[in-house]
Amino acid sequence: MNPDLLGRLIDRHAPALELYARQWCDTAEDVVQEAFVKLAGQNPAPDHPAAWLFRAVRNGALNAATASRRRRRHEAQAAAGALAWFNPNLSHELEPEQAQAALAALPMEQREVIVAHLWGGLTFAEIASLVESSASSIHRRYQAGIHTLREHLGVSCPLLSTRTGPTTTD
Amino acid sequence: MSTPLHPDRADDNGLTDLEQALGALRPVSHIQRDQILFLAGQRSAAPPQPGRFCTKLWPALAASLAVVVLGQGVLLARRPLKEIEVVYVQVPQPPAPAPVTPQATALAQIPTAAIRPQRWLDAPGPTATNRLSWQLIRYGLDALPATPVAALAPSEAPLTAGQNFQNDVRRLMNPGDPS
Repeated sequence: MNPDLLGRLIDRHAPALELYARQWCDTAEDVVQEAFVKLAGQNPAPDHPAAWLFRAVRNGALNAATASRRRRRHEAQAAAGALAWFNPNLSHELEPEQAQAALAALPMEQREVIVAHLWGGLTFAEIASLVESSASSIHRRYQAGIHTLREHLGVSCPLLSTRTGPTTTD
Repeated sequence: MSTPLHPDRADDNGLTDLEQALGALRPVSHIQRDQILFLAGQRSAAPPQPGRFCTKLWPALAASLAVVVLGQGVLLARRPLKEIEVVYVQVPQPPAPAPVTPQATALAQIPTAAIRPQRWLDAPGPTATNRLSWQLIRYGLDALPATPVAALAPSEAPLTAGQNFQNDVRRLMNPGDPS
């Protein structure tokens, strides 16, 4: 794979992939790094690198979570939630800690869809292929998760009417 | 395709704004871009790893050979011992002897005495002259010693002239003795 393309993919997807992997394991950096290295070795390159990366990270995170649970049984160290998920030094309408707590309280199937869609930029069809489900089911999970988040965050409707504009993604 | 912050199913419940607020949060990233690029380049430059078949070929071959060796060892240990069995085989009698060939007949007709050397050649005589003659006739000139003394027995002193004369006289007086 072209190094420039790999660099652009890292810049674009690495934070979201790390957040996505952190839903399962504590070693999100290693999982994401390994996924990118594997992507660089793919010949030919996948047609949809983002979807391929999310699938690779999901598999790696699940494996790492299995090993992590096995290790925790002996060490009794619950590191989940020890790391901040969002960057706190930026001005946000939502508090990063509250958003993290609300997000962490969601069921895994809803949280996974929200992270992949909001921060990963994957479509519902891509997420459905990723989790081996239907697009309509993924859509329902997403709506249910957003609804739960709104309740946990105490956001009334309509919300944040004074925002300057949508956050763009590359 | 719907973008994360502009879903095509935006409704009046304010979900779009909540999505925007959530999307504005930037995930913390500890990914080191340069390290990933370095690892990717390093792995691409590394020689290709042998396939799963090659990596498991030699252990499988060794295991199969070990099984074969163990099996043969068991068979060898449990092999029944065979007792020595003596079998008498009747050998047919050989046919009558073939007629003697003319050459064999000619050889058989040669008298034994003709091919047997003379009796006096069987052993050297008692005197030094006899022994020297016997040695000369039997082995030829090459067998002669450098000096006549060397032909004598180690324990026998050389004969003097008088002793030679007495021997000659004794021989003349007793003609029946072997010469």
